[in-house]
Amino acid sequence: MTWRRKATKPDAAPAPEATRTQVRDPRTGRRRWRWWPWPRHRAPQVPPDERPRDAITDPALPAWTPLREPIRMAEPPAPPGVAPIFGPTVVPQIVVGSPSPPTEPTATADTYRSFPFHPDTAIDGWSTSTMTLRGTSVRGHLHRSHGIPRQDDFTMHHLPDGRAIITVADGVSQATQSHHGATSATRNAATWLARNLTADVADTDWSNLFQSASWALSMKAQNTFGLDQPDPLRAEQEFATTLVCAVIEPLRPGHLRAHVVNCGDSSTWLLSGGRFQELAGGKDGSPEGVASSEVTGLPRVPKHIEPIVIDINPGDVLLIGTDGVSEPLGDGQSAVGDLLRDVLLRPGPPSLIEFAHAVDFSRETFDDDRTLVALWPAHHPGHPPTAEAGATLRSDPTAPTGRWQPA
Amino acid sequence: MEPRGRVLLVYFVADESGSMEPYISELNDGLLSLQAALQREPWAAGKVRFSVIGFSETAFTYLEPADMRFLQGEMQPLTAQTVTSYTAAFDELDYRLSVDVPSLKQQGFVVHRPSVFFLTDGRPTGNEDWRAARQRVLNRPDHPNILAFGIGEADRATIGEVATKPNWALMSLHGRDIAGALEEFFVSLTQSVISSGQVAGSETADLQFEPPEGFNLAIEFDDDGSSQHSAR
Repeated sequence: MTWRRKATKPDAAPAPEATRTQVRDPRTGRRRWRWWPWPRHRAPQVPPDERPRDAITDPALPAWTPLREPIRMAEPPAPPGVAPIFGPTVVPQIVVGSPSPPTEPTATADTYRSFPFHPDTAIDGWSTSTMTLRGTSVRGHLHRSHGIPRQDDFTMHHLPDGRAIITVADGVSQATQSHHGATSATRNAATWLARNLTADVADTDWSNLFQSASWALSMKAQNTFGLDQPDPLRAEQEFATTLVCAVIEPLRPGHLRAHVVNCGDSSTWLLSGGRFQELAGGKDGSPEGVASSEVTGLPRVPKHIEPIVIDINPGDVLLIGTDGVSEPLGDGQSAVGDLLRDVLLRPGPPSLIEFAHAVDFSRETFDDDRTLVALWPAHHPGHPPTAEAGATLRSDPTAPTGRWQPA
Repeated sequence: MEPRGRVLLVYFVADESGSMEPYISELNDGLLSLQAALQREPWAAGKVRFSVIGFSETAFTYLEPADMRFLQGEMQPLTAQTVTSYTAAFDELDYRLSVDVPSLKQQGFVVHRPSVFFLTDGRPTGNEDWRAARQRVLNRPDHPNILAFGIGEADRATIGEVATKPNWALMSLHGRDIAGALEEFFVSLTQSVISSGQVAGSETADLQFEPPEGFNLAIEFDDDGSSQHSAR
């Protein structure tokens, strides 16, 4: 007789505990133990809490296709030759009014220390059960033409407790290594927030957040230039950057609350009812005089940091962006305002590439780097149903209670 | 309102008094070469509005602030006139600022602090109170940065008084070779306009300026950092 593996159904219920019975081996006539199921067929024993959730037994999960029956696709006969390609491969740049001069990006000039890698464009985006984010940072046309790196940067993280953090920085042009300053500030601030946020965001020591990001720049100056000690003055010369930090907390389905702190001239808007309301930041300009080119940023830390708290309701979009976006956007009654409304107010959020493509528009005289992060509360029917974030929030003892109700 | 971007207003204020007569063609050639150079610099040209004011006994705006890429035909040439009235020059500048800055803002532009390149070969004529006229310009909320260039017989102390910063007051080392001084002046002016125009779109909007080679500072600095007008 041959030993055959017994076929197991892919969707079989978890195997019972293995049992053994004594049998006689017909080849040798000896008695031996027969195990069933054979240990190698046994399903791994998962504690009940950690078992994957099942759309059939768990009513909290949407009724996706049940896996009781194997799915059998009726495969159409394969056409001869290679697979067809759908969709355009040429995607022209969006032009608003008159375009900037066309440009092929120049390699980063030696003075800018291109290590570690600092790409022309950064894109991110994701959804949880409570929110959708899109973020991009694109190099300005003038910087592309002149081999100057992108001096903006951003981060966006989802925290285990269901909240999210966003950081956006705009390196000051006069500081030659400000692209590294912007990257350092965004990443250090995000790390600080992930480590130090407590259940109540209002308890956050925002000054300490900026001081930590500022000190990281001074230490970066020490490491980069081989100095004896961290040097705030050298950090300002080389790495000066603005910084905006936001903490997003889900209130109830479709409703989010943002706490935003700002150092510098980057802006925060709420796109609500089709209007861009600028809530924080922006440039100070007197109507009588001329534009000021003064920018204060890290490592200088503002004396008083007061967070603004923004409630985001269904249909609203929270936007955080650098001056490369705020200047062509103006008060929102502009062509760029129309472009952003078109992309941001669709029934579903744009794809990551669509979002970055829109922010990378070409418009004459608006050549600065552009960074924009957009945040939607989960409210539309097509919202990706990722329940894990909410489930973790409920079971996390440090998470705020009473504010988040399951749908 | 539709934002149109940031622009830098540049005024070239040229002395066209009688003593400049032999060099008027160099002045006009210099302006044409500046126009040609800007056409080759699309990043800068779109962000600069260039204006030309000539002054002698009176002042006249030969070119209202223009995007040099779209300038139709040639600029009206400067012509040598009579005496040198700085008052007329500053009054015309005051008037132009009062018109040009609001007009650009109304079109949706963000206007940087204007720059004035003030070129003269002489001394102000008579007893006119040109300092008061200059002060009226500087009292404006949109007061310009003034760079002063002395050529030929220009008075070093006066040049120092016209400029708004000591290191923006420059005297030609060419002596009587005014044609050579003008050539270098226009190279410097063109470079300054292009590099200032390029950065005008970003937050680094300060005037970019490298003194021309054949010029030195009209004002000397003492060791303690204070400045004084040189008697030379």
